[in-house]
Amino acid sequence: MINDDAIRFGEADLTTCDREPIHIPGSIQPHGVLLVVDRQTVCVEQTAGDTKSHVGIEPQKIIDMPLTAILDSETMAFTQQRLNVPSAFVAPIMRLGVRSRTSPLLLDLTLHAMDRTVIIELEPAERTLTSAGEPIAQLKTLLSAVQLTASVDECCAAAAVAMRAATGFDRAMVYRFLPDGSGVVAAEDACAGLESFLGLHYPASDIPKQARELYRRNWLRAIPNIDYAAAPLQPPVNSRTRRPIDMSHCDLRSVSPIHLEYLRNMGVGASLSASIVCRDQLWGMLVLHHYSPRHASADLRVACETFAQILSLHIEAKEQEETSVLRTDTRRMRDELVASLAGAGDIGRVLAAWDLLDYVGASGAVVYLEGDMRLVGETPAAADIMPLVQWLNGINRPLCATDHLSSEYPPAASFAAIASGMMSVGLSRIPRDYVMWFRPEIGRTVRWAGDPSKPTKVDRHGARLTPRGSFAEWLEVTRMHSAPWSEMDLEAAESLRVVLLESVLKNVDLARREREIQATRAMTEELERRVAQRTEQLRALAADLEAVEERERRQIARDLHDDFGQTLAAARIRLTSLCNDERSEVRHAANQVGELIDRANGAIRSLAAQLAPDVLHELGLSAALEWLGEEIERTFGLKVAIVDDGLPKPLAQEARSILYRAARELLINVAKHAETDSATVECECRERRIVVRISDSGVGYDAAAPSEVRQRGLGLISVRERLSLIGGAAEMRSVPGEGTVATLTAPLAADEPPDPERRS
Amino acid sequence: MTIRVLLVEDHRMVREALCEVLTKVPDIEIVGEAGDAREALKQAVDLDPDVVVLDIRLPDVNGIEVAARLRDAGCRAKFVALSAFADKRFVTAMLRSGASAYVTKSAAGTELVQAIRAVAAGHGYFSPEIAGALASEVRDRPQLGEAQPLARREREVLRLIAEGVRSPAIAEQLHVSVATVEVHRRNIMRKLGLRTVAELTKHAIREGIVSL
Repeated sequence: MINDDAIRFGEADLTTCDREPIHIPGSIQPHGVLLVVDRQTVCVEQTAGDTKSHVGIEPQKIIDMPLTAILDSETMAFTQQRLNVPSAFVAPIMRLGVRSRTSPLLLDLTLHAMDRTVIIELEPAERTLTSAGEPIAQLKTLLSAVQLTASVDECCAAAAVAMRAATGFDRAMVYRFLPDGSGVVAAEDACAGLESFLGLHYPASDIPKQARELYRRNWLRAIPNIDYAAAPLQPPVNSRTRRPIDMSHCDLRSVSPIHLEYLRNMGVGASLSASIVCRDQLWGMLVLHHYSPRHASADLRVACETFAQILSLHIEAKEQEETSVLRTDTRRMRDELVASLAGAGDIGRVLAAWDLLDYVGASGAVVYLEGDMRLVGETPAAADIMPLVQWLNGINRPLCATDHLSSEYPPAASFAAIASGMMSVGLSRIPRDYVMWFRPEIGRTVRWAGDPSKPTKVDRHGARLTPRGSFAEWLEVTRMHSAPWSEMDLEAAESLRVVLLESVLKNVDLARREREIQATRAMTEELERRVAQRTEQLRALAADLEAVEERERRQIARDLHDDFGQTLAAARIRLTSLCNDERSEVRHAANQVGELIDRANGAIRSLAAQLAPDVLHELGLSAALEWLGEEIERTFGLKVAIVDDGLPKPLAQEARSILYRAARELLINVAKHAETDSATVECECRERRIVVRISDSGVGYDAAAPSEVRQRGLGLISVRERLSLIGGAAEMRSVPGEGTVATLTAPLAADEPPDPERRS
Repeated sequence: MTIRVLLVEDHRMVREALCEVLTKVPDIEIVGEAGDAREALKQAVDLDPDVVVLDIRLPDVNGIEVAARLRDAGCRAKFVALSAFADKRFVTAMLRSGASAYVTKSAAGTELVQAIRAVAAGHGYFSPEIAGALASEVRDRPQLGEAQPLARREREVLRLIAEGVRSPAIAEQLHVSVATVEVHRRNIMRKLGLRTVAELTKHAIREGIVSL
């Protein structure tokens, strides 16, 4: 049903041509006749074309005629058989070389039916006996041409060559639709001297949507003569249905005057086109142009149509193959990337060095990682990228792809020339790291169909209905658009995102671990430094303390000895005269005082000896060790053998004291823990060092056992510490059950005041 | 005939107390007093005393050293050691340096005069306390023929001597001076109570220090 405001066929202009009802033109091309037959009555309801010359009956007379009166019995039987099926739609079927009862002309018949309406098309069969079977042979040639091709492009190229050869047209092209409805001449074969259209793009408006839909359903269109005079249907409206006849499946269907004008403007005289349909979508078209009228016979058209269908299957298979190859390629590229990412600290650097552009077919890319920006190829300026990154943060999509960035992000208009299209993947949480790809404005990349320098021809529809003219319009439409991102591109980007995410996470993990290790190391170093510092301070303090202590001891000992002791001695001496006094009571008292003084003196000497043995001070270390041995035996019952090499051992007062105290401590240790009744102290000079070795054959201890170390090791630590003050060392070796050997060494004094021991 | 005495004692109070005691004794004359080793050495030479009463503890060089130096310098005086120390090591050290008597300070009031008279007469004198220490020293000392233990280095030196290596070669081998080797040889002989190299060699073989 046509609404009042609906566009009638042939009345559309360029602004409305996509709404022109091209499937109900109400007329046919005049190189055949069309009969509309009621499926029930099998009588002719409408007719178009020259019935007189085709079947020998005047058009007015043929109306209401039973079909049996027109077709011969054999053809009628074929027709009846086709129509006697339960389905409402009977797909077009062709019978070549039929005859009518009313004319000697050999005809090719095509019939199809929708509900009660049967449409029969008749064309003169342009065939001789010799040419019969030619189209079949040609089809075979056509098919073998495309069978051996390796890619979609090769397949198309081969198809173009084969089609032109088979049909004898001046130009054969494979026109391929792009996702936005525009198209490109993907393959071409033209006779010499013709301008090549190969690679030229045509806007979507050149082949309107409803035409594309029609082409999807009807595989073949033929216009033998662009300048035909359309033959109208008589009567124009079907009296039974009151509807215009749907000619979607008619070969003879009259085409849109706009389309004819378009072809005429290109200088085309005849055209033949077949649809290439892949996955139920109009993939493209096989287009044949001739620069004068040219009629393709029905059998040739069948061959072409069959070829187009088989070509469709080939392309579909090859595309799938290519997709999988492409997938393999992108996967291989990804694998390479992953390999180079492994162990690489700087993901951004690796990415920028990788085939980032080839990966998705972009002209520019940006890697934005942790505030670090790397530009690859042709990209907007870094200053334009930052706001874009912020915008991306705002929209918060892990994968974002647009072929018209400025429509979503208006500032992009300023750099639309190089980045109309953008695809980005986010690599982390907000604020994200991104990989962005850019594609330039499409107008810059596409070759214009039509020579822009040629003056445009002005006709009924103005200058627009030419490839050149429509291109200008198309340019307007595609302004700030890039070539769209395909499913494959999106898939590749998403895969990359996943791969990078893993790497980024891994790196973040590694970096964190590295940071932790660094921090721990720094902390440990700081700790060690502080410990060393403290140890040094402690050592210095210990040294001071030791020295002070030792000085104090000697001082007290001297005070006791020199002052107190000597005073007592003086008193004692002076008392002597009283002890010899003639008066017995004086003698008695003096003797009593004398005894008290002697006791006090004894106590003082003992005390002084404990603090700083006189022997050590006056006679040296060897004598002191001897004295010590006796003291230990007296106190602890441990027999100490002293073995001395008898050599002079010059030692500073402090060194002497430290060695003496260390030996004393170790001997007391032996007495307390070794469970033995004897020990040996060896004292020797070796290489300008004094070596004091304290050994026992007692129970020993396990140096590895913490409790043992606590018990005996601490003593050693303090001994070692004290020895280090004088450049000495202490070493302890113990074998459980066998005994312990402690070795103390210290440098001998080179320029010390003469040691009393020299005289020993 | 009076005994001329040099009194070496750094402690003034003690010195005065001793002087007081000694001046009461007619046959003893204090010819000089010294408070340190330097003064003692000078006066001993200048005054040529019969007896030097020598404190062991002196501020500069101790009495043991002073006695040894005077003896080495050919001083004919007898030495009476006077000390607060009663340890046997002081006693023996003092005796080795040439002292003939040893009196503890606490007993000095009664014993010093006796000690001076004894040494002047060519005898020795020891306070009872000192005599006890000496007795224990003799008692504890290894019996004759009972060898004292040798130090490691001494055993090494003994082995080399027994093997016939001469002192300079031993010194070279052990990275010590020839004098040190000689000290070792003397000490070894003293410790073992031996007198000749032949005896040393025999001992080394017997003890398994060298093999034939």
